[in-house]
Amino acid sequence: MRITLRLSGSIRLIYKELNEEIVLFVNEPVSIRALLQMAGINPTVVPAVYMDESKKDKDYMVTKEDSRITVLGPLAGG
Amino acid sequence: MLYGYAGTTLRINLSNENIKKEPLNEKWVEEYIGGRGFVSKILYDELAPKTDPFSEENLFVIAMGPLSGCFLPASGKTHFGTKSPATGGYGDSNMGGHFGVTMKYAGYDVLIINGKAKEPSYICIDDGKIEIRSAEKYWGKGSFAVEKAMKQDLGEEFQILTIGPAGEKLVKYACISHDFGRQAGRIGIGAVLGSKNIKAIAVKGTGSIPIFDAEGLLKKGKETYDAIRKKPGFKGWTPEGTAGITNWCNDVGAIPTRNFQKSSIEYADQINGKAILDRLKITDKGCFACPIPCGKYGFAKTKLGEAFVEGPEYETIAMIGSNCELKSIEEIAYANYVCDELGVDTCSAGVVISWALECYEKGILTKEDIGREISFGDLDSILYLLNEISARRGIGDLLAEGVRIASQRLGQGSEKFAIHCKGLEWTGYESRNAPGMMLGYITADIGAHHGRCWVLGNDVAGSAEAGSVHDLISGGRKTNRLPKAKVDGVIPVVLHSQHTRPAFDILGTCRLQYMEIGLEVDYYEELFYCITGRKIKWEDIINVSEKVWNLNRCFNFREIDGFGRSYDYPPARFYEDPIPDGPNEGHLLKLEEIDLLLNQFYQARGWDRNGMPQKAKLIDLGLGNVAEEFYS
Repeated sequence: MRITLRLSGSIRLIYKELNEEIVLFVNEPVSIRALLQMAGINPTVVPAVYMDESKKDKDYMVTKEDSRITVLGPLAGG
Repeated sequence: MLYGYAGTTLRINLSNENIKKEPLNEKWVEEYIGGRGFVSKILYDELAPKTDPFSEENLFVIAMGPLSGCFLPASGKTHFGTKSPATGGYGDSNMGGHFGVTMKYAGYDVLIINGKAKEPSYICIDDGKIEIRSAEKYWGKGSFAVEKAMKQDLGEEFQILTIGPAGEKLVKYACISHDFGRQAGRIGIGAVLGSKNIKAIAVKGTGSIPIFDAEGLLKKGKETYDAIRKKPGFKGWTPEGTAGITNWCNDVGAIPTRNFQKSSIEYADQINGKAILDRLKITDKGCFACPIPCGKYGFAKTKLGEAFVEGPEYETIAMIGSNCELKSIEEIAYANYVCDELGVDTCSAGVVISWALECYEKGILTKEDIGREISFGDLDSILYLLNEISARRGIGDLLAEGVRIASQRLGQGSEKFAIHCKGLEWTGYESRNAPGMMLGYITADIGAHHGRCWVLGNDVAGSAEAGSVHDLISGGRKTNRLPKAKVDGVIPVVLHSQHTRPAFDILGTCRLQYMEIGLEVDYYEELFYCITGRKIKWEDIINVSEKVWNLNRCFNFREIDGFGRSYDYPPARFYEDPIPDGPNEGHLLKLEEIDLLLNQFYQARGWDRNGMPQKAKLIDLGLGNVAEEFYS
């Protein structure tokens, strides 16, 4: 199963060596948390993930081929 | 021809009502580019040493960058500068909205005000026509009320800056308001305007800005918008704005609670971005040319009042909310509205009020001192204190001085939990297990401000290296505690953030397109060329950032007696009291760790052990004249 992680600018300010898109291949349904770890991103650093236009929990199980997951990083503001 | 600039500096002396227009100084453009760079240069060169911040001689500066108003994404930032009444040192603050862009369309890149008006006044800039007018009918009124009244009086096409009653009363954390919900909040910038008897500045601009390659800019600007829309994070940022970070800050034990006595809460879901969407929001609200409108305009109803209000942003949620223990988003939003109307910075007000609440709990301040009973979590107590502060009435007169002076005057050990650095109150991030964030706060030129350096994510990544909370749990270990964050290796991360963030302030754009969305810096280089006709590399802009950091550091050495290393420490609570509970339970940065961080930071910056930029460093940065002043 091919899954793409799309990393926001704020997450790439922390993990500078990572590309904007990371393609991962898995053989069975997998949680977003596990995918983040496979990509070398500690899940604790990630405040939010989006898939199919909606916010998902990091324990959400990804089951669809060609899923695209947007990974947001933390930021300051106000 | 200075492409990208309106080309004129407007100088207004309020004492003799002398109004002067002069060509924008090309040396400033060449060496400092714009925005915060101009502010830094003007304050260092033109302000007489040891000027009292509230004297007629202090300068109030507004400066725009070359990219401002040029139809590229989020190009509406306005920069303000003055000698800060909060810190006695260099001060600047910025805001979004539409004021600065309109000032540029009126023909002015820079506005420098000195002197003091004889009576309450406002400045009206109607393209080339400048007038100082009576503000008698507006004086004493709230910021929103004045902005609305002035729009009715002058016309909707005028953009308005106002101060509230707090600015008139010289509250040292009074802000400037604009656009019904945007503030330049920090360093007491509104109090300086108040000290000059200026209630408001109104501007209408119908001119244009000369562009070197207008066709190229149109093409590149469109490309930039398209690139942003395709970026990961484009859709994720807008829905909740900065409030979307509330739960994360709580999860990593970084949300200030009860005057930084704790760093986590049980009610995050009641005060987060989703709560705003579910219970307050009417519409998104954006600044000039912004593709990701992060402002949330809504309506808040509480038992003590109701209001239309923009926000609250995360910083207000943290400082007026959890730090004062307000547990509902409606109450936080309403307190936010009251702060805005009175014209006080929500960050500083949150620290000052939570300090007073802790003093009251500890018996250091009494019912007689305060004028009534007060408690954490009580909206009525917080609104009472805000009103007393803004009127400088009773206990409010002490609290209006800011937490540093208030704690020095009150004593009895209250200095230990007066949460500030250099006299500027801390903002929304507990940093006892975040060494990069701590270093960023304590070495910032204006005092403890998150806008100068924000690396909490890097700290958490470092902290989490030994295994995050969830990893530990999933590994079968029952723990909710983060390991101690890594101290080694934070210096380059801090320097990168300290140099990158001002780059956008210098250009005159919002940094979020880069910081959050991930827009590549190449876009800025190309847009800069289309607008100004000057080729520039991102490294060149970063070099200006470093120059500004050093110039401001020298400004503080010149203006503040005894300035140096001793001004770069956090309050004792942060190195004496471990965090008592939550994910960071038991953690703190010991004094020797802070000393180590400062030693490494000074060395990396080319500063001596007292934090003074060394002669060679100043010369390297093109600040030979400054080196001469300090080393001759």
